Amino acid sequence: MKPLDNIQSLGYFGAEFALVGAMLLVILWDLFVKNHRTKVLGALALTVAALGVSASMAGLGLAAGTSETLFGGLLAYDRFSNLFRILFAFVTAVALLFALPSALARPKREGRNAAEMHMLMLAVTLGMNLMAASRSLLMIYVSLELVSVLSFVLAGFKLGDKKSSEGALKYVIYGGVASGVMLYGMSWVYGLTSSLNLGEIAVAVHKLTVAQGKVPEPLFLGVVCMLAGLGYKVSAAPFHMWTPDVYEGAPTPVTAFLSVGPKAAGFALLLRFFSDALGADRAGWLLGSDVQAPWTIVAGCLAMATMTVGNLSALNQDNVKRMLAYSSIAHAGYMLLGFAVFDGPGTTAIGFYVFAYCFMNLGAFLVVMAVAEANGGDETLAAFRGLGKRAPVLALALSIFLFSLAGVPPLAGFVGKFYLFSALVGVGDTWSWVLAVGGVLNSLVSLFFYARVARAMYLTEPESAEPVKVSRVHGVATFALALPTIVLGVYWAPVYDFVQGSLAMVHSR
Amino acid sequence: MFQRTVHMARTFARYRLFVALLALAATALGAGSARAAGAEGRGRIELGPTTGGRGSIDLVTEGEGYQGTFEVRNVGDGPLTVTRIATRTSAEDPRMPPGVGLKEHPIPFVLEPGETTEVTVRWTPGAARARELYGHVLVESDAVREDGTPRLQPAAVGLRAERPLGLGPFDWIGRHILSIMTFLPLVGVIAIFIAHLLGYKKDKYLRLMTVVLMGLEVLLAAWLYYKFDSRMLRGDGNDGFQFVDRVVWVRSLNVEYFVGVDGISITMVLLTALISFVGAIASYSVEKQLKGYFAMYNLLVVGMMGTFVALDLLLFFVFWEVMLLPMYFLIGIWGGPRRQYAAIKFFVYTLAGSVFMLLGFIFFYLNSDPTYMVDGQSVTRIFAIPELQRVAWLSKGLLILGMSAVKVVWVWLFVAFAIKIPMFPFHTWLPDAHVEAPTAISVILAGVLLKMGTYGILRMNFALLPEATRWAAPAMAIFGVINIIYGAFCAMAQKDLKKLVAYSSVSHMGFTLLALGALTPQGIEACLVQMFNHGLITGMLFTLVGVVYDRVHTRDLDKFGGLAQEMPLYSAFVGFAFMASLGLPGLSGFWGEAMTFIGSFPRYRLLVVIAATGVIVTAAYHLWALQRMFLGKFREEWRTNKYLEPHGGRFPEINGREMFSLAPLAILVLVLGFWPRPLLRLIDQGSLQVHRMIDTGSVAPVAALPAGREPTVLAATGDDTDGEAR
Repeated sequence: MKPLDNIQSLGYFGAEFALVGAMLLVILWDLFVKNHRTKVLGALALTVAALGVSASMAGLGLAAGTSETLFGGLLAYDRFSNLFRILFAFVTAVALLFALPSALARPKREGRNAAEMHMLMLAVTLGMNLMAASRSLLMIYVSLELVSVLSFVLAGFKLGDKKSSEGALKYVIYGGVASGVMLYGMSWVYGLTSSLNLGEIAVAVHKLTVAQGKVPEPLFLGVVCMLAGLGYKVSAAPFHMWTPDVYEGAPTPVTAFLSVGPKAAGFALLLRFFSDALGADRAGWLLGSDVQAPWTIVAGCLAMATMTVGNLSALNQDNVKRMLAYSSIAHAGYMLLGFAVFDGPGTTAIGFYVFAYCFMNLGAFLVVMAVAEANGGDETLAAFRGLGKRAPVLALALSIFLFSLAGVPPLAGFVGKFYLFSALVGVGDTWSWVLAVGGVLNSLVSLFFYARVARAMYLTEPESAEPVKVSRVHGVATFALALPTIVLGVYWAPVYDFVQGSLAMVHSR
Repeated sequence: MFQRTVHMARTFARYRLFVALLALAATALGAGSARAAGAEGRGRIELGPTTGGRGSIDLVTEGEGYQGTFEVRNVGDGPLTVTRIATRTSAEDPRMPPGVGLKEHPIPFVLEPGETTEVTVRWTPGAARARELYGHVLVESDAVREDGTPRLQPAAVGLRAERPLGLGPFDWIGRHILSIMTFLPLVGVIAIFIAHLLGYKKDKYLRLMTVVLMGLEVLLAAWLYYKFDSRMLRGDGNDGFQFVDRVVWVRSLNVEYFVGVDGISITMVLLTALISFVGAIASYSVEKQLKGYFAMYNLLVVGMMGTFVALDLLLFFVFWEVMLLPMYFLIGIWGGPRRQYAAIKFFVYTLAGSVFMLLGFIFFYLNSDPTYMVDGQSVTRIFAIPELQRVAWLSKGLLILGMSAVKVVWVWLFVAFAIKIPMFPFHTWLPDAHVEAPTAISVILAGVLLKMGTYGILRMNFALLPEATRWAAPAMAIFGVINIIYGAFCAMAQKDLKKLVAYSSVSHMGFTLLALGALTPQGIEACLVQMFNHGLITGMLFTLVGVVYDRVHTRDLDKFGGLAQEMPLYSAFVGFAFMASLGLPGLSGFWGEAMTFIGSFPRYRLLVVIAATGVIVTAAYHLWALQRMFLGKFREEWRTNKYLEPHGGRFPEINGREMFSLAPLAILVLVLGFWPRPLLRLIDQGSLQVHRMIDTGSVAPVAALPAGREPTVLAATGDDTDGEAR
């Protein structure tokens, strides 16, 4: 299958056009409308409409099952990218809905214009779409930077807030280092394979591996360096240092967004890079020869370190938002477990986990935000004391999200973890068992800090007995996220089948 | 080669028109040959009801029996030769009740693409024991799979038939009684949630609703007891399970919603219903946050009931965990002063066990043999326990981290269940949880939750990994004896009455472990008897502890004395319960202990002698506690106690509600003490069957073993534990 040329490709680029168009419109709208309420609602309407268009175009592409390579091989248009387009549109829309009440309440909040946020979020979504579709090292780097740079801005969105600025600065520095290391790794890979195209890299890697009877060390080095950049994006240990500060400092809707959207995009990129460029999914990890590639070990070590660091650090956090930041690191670790398998069950498990994670993590951040708003911005555990009495439904929802994150059945998180662990057990060698046992022990540890919040909500007496007021948007959104968290835990078959059927990627040159 | 190609290309370029014509011809030919290839295609088979689609078929009443028809369809692009149609059962491994047959059908026959033929199945139950039929008809053919590769196993279609229960329009209640019993409390949970959303304030009606729901559970359980066929064996079909509900739950993971009862679980279902009812009445002493309490209570009952009836590993795991969270909140919110510590300890201990249990379940799933789901879909992996019992795990020779997989998985499962029992050294959560939990929750905890441990060992460890069970039996027995002695001595040292009862549970549950370790039919039966009776007796004991605690808010034995004059009726009840607990002949507690000793003496003489000394200690601490509390001189300072002020300084006698919650248990303890037949009747066959499984490694109730299932012994371990048993 030949890559489409630039003109032909445009027809498949509609989802991205919708986002770019909406970005421009939002800027214009921001310029010409004076009334604050109209401005925010209009920007939101435009954004959500664009996201809806993007998602539905992706949905059509998914239904048609079209598989093309666009722009002379830079981008892929396949089920895989379309699946993630839908996910990103959903995540962005939910995050913006979160932000609505506070955007409406405070005109020019913290010196920023509310419409700016919509524009930035649209641009990040565009970047994430490109990340999931990149089939060239160049495109990978550009899209990753697009998402990163805009994320820096979003993380520092609270002007004048020290924590927010600190987080943003850390984010910039870490991001700079990580992308430098990644670029260095890419240069190694390019030097060895003399191509930027993932498909051509795959052929060259295969040839080299067969010729040398092992994965060449320079290639190994290059890929590990690239993993640094990607690991930064998914906040895998040891590239996770920025996460807690950024997540704690950023406005909560942005945190919720960062913890799900760019992370999912990072995983999409990892999946595509491993399966497309390293040929991981076609011949197992064997690369079509008898060579055992070292990637299982690398991915496994990364997963193990990430899970352990995330969970152990989360144990002692008193700030719930920070605790959730560490928990999101740990969840990146669980998902990385799937890379240590990387055949059908492994990738599907990652895909399904991303979906389940999206609901429960967004939901948890949403409740934290609602509680913090009602308590004058207090995000510590103290604010959650006695929530079971002050806001029973909200507390119930947060328990559902947290126990789902902990992997307690019958909730979505359990099913996700179940698939991950069963993929490992399915391989059945010593390393996989070690990883499976490690993952299981980690989810046990994680229960401590999730249960801590539940304990604060139900087992301790509130400082004030007055009920917590929740805006209607938040109430509806909480319900809309809690429902799938339960339903996916009881009857997940359609979603699993859908994800399984949508992970097909293009593999041509 | 390369030059030749270039030359050819040049030639073609010269004769462009000719080439174009050639290409056209080739296309036409290609299309033609594609069609020709289609004629040589292979047939693909699809089975399903005559109404179209796939899935199992329901047999309906037809004369003396039940009859149903399914279609064999050829959905491929070539002819399909059907070589054999047969029911999936054999004399060695009877999977379905006798009397299932196929109407005569010419065999072999050929189906052209798109053609269908109908096959009729008939079930003439006659004298068959089974009330329902779950089975498969296999159709062997030369069909290929969708991708053109040969089928691994013949196509199958699921069969289902149920004989009426004679309840008329309420027949469906009887057919789905286990599902109804499991999910009935969920109605309560939803009702309470709606009541909360609507701002309903009269919480005491929600309490009444819970009692009514639990009363309904008891009625349903009574009916179940009445209808349960205790003589049904594995060979009678449906793997010996009754009141089966079985449908596909999640197809992509081959999970089934599969519930049923047999001789092992029936007593536990009855016990759960009864104890839940008693607990609901005992919950009247709870005063704060009633909505939350009763929502959690109902959810807890769903989890407990589900755990005992689930026959699919994943379903079992889900129910197991569903029970966990409500328990955490019930102890943590409505418990005593150290409730938070106790709640988290309970939670973490149980969860630590269950995560490894989950790994074990995944192991079973991934290494199971190809079989069929209930509707006939062929699968390579399954969670259904009866199917997994047919897998010869040991002969697979699997390893986990270099160790024999069956042993590793056995230990994982055992630890998960041992935590629940609780077995020494995993028992430390129990005294904490009991002391802090409200009365009703202590009753549930001791009455039902501890039994999940022993039930799990019987259902999973014994039935799925018989060889490893034989390997580990002595360890089980030794831990059992440690439990008995250690628990008894700890109980003796307690000043807190509730802690004393909690440690007596540790001691009494030790008997079940010793009995299991014996691997004799009497031992297994003793375990089941002890489980049931311990549930009744500790239920009583904790309720009685709650009675005195409600009155004076202390349980310190040394502060009491001479209560017999103050509360004669209460004293009588406590005396009765203590006598039952220490195993006085004539009360039901006696049977479990006596049968344990009878069952395990042939195998572990020394251990039984040691365990028997535990009985003496048991008697000692019971009597000593009785003496400290009820005999001697009444302390006059109680007269001025602030809790007794409203009652004029006198201990109020046990009241009607409390007696009402104790009465069913007390009556059962007395009746079963003199006449244990109604209980043993239920258990006899179940324990024999379990014994047969572990004794020979065979699953079939008849002498012959199914193919591939040799009575292997774990010889590689080098120890001779097995020889001792014979």
